[in-house]
Amino acid sequence: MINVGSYFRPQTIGEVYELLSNRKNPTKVLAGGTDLLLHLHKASEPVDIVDIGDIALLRTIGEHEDEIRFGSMVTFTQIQTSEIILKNYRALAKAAAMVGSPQIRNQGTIVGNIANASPAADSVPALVAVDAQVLVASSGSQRWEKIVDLLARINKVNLAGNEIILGVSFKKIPGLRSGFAKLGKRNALAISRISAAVGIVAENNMITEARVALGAVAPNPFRSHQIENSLIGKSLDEAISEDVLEAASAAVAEKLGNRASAPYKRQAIKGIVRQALEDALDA
Amino acid sequence: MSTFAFNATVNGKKIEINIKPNLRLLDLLRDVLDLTGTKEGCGEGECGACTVIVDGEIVNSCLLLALQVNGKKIITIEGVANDKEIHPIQQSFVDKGAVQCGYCTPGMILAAKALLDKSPKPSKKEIAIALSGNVCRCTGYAKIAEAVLDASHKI
Repeated sequence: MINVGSYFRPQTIGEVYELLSNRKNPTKVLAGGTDLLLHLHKASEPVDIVDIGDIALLRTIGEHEDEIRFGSMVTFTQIQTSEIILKNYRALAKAAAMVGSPQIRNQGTIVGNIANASPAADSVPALVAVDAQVLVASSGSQRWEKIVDLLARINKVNLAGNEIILGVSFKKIPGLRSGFAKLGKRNALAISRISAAVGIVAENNMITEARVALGAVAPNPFRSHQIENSLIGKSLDEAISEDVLEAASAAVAEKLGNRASAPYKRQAIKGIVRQALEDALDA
Repeated sequence: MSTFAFNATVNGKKIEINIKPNLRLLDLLRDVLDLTGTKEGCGEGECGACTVIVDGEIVNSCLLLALQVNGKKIITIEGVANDKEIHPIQQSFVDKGAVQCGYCTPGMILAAKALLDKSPKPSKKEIAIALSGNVCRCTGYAKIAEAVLDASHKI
């Protein structure tokens, strides 16, 4: 049984703020619902739902002079097929394309993926790699928050009860070649066991900037400066080399410690980082 | 629990009823509208047996509150054939032996329909991806993929 109390369908963001202020009952914002509905099955008391599906401006993806922005109702399918995303940050489109299934991608949202804060969220490593931020808003205020700071371990985010995420923004990185790879138990409908987003900028065939973020190997996805530093200064032909893959292995070993998955993931990460780099270099 | 007005078009027919907010689209279709062709396989969006088409896109009806699709156009398996004959996709499924127990079949056909409506001549890979959210325990998928390819030649 889905444990829903009341249901609201605001037509404006102002109405959303009002609905989220002074709530007496547990209240959740509903975007796509592919995670939320599963939580509602397990909810011990009725949850009031604020469905933001009618707010059209939350469904837009926009390219500005030096940043890309998209709203909190933008689905995985929209990101996967967006010319703006494919042109500016292919890894995010690739990550979105690997989530769940076409059905899930048509309905689920990137911001829902962030807010659900699963360690295995696929879009999050791609966003964290480019230091993406979310716009957190309530009737009183608005602030931009880096996604890494918003995430507060497993299935937890630093959001007050009256706050809503309105959208995501990340700065364009000129010349960025990016890739994404995911290890799941099958090719679709699979939760990531490991994921990696990589981006490199090269001048005269030499890597001058590297962005690497890993997913499903820590409570939340994170940028690995260890792996990034191992890439900087290398030529593009040397990018996929023993010391880069060893750096990846060391980064994962440190995060996972004595967890049962550590011996496997310490080795498997090498394959995933290799795939993600190949993907980036192919672009 | 109070009820809410629900208005949508289901298989071309306008539906206007009052429903409780905790009704999933799947429950609305099966229990309220008696359209039992849509199946509940897992209830958690992992199998695709509950697939329906909403405004041209496939979704898992077990993961949607009915109220989320207020004002939208919904197609279930019952809306695929017309009054006189079954749809070419359905005929291909029959011709190619792509149906065994039949439980995944409505979802598979709707996923195929949504694909062919957008990409009339898909590659085998595109077919595999389009149906990747629908699992089948019986057929091993080969006949299903053949059926979709076959249908694409006819449409």
